[in-house]
Amino acid sequence: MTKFIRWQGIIGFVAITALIISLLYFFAETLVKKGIVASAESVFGAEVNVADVELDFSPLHISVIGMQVTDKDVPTHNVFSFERASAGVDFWQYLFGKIIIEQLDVAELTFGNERNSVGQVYGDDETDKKKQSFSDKAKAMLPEMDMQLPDVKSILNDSDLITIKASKTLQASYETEQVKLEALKDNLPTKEKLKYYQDKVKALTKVDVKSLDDIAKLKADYDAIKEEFKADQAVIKDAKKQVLASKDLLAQQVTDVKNAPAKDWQNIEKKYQLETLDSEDFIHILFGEQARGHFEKAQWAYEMVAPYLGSSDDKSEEVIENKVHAKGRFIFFKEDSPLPEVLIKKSLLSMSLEQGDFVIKGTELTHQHWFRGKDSEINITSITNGELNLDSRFKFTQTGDFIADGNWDMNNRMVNDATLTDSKALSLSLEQGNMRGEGNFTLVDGDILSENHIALNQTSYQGQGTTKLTSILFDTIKSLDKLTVDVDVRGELAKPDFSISSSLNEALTGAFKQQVAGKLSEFKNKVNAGLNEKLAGALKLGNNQTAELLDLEALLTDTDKALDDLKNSDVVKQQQKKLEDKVKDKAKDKLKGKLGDLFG
Amino acid sequence: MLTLLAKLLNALNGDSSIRQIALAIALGFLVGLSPLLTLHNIIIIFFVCIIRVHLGSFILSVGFFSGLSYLLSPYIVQVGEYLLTSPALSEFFTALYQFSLFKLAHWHHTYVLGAFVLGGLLCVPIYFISKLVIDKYRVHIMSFFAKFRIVQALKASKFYSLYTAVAGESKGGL
Repeated sequence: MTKFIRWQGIIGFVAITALIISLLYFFAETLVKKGIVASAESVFGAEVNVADVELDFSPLHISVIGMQVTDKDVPTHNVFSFERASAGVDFWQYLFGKIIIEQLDVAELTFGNERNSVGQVYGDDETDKKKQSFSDKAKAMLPEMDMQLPDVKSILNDSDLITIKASKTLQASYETEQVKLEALKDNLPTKEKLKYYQDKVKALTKVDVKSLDDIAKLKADYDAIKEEFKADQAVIKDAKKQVLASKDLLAQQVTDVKNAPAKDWQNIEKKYQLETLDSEDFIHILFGEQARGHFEKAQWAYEMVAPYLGSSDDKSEEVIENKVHAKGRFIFFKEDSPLPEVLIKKSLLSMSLEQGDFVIKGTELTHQHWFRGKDSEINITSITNGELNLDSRFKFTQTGDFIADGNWDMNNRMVNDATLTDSKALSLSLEQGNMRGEGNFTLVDGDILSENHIALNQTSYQGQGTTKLTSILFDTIKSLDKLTVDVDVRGELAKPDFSISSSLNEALTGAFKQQVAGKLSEFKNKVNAGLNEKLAGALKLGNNQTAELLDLEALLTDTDKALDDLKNSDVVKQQQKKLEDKVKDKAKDKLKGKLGDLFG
Repeated sequence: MLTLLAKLLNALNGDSSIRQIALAIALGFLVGLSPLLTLHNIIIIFFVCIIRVHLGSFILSVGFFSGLSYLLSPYIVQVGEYLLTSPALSEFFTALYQFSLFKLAHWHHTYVLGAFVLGGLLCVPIYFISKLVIDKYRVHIMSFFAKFRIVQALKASKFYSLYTAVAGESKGGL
């Protein structure tokens, strides 16, 4: 037996085990502290400080004391810090691969507080620096409010203007048609030619006809003349057709030129969004900045937590990826009392913000709600400045859907020195006001729907408007004692649509809209005057052309009529009648002679 | 580290049993493949302490195969993932999952189970291959290399003096 077994090995094993346990026992706190700092620094990309970590093993209880996380964008400040966080962990479940925390307490949680020393930032993300906050964008918009009306000269020099295009088209058509008409004119029968025809026909009327042969000869002569001006009549017919086509074309183009300024104005309004320049823009800038600020905070919190809340199915895909190093995962099977992978049964956070002290209570915080069939609940209350209460519930379904809803209400909350906007054109802050409000939200599969109503009473404002419009805005706001704001947020959580309405709209409608309308009207007159000037030149051309066409048309009509008269002349009939009369007279004389002889 | 290497060379060149060294390498492979602090590893280490295996070879083997395990981790995890998520084995693992010992051993973790199963399957051939290689080494390679001048130069080095010191200490031992 001793050939295979060395009993002293047991002593060695016990000694090694005891050594490892002792090392873990004495250095566990240091190891946990280093672990927390390293993980948090990797997540937040900046220096993380933890003053101390306390560990109790029976029951397993961990306390993190004095944690500060540097804001990598503003290293002089923390993203958040807290005095103490303690959690009681179910050790047995921890050994099975699950983190079940019976109670999590976080005391004096603070956001954005100043650090004692500037924190180090790890990694330099250029894209972060390039991101412009909504607040910056809003500030950048206000100074341009007065300049939003574009320069009249540059608009009128725009080669894309319909007026300019239509004028050029009319001019080109005028020139083309002119050439065609000139060519026609050259082929038209001259006055001399017409006179020649008339003289010829007149000469036929003077021919002395004595017999039917003479009539037949006269008819032949007349037909020969008619053949001559038949060709001329065809030329006139073609010319008439061409004149009509030119007239129609030019008339249409003149109409286009006349309508062009109106179309150009419509395009200018659309391009520069002049029709939407109304008081609602200012409401969005003033209160949208605040609303989006609050929403961005909530969104930030969601985005921080979301990656850790993915369903286990997502993780399996991650494992199958061909990485250099894979860590694997726990697979949990059915059991009598199933538990989620991570569960905080109860939590209590106390938070100090500029707006007051808050207490956040949470129950059943997990990402696998189907195991215990209970929703996570979060309740936020504050009583240091009026009353504020927020109740929310959320859950993940086994298929990975996220569903949340909640409501909030606020009463008798005093707001002091709250900056609404601070830009070159307008600085505005709420010196004081009494605020109340209520709202609700639902979030289903990344789509948010939220309705919020806030009413401010006994308000006083401070600030200054440096442009005409912002001065009116400031004076109007200052004159208000009561103000209501309704903010609706709906759509995709990543890029929601904000709809903000306020009683300020009505107040501004009179004074402000009138100013805007006046300014717009002045601008419109200038633009239209410029467009009409361009139009006038083109129309003058058009008028000249029309007059020429009318003259030509009259000439063609006269010529055509003259030829028609000649064509329809009864010269042959006249001569025939003359001959008949002559024959009759002759017969009469003959009869008279014979009767005289008979009765004479 | 140098001492450990010297011990291994001493074991390979000395009188230590080939089976003791081969078993140490095979068990080192089984332990090295899994994360170190798992229940089955603690039990194996316990047996390594009380069974006469070559400890130096075992420690070196654990170090080497831990590095290999890091490189092979995606495949180890895939094996564990396949076994634990296979519908055919679902009932079997559900039954095992009801035992606390199964959960305590973390055999419901894809890495741990994959490493344990691969380690268990491959440690037997590794034992026999190691035995064969050490045997061949002692017969052919040791005498072949001894002829080289560089080996003779090495014999004059500090490492060799350490090696001889170790050999002196553990004559016939572990």
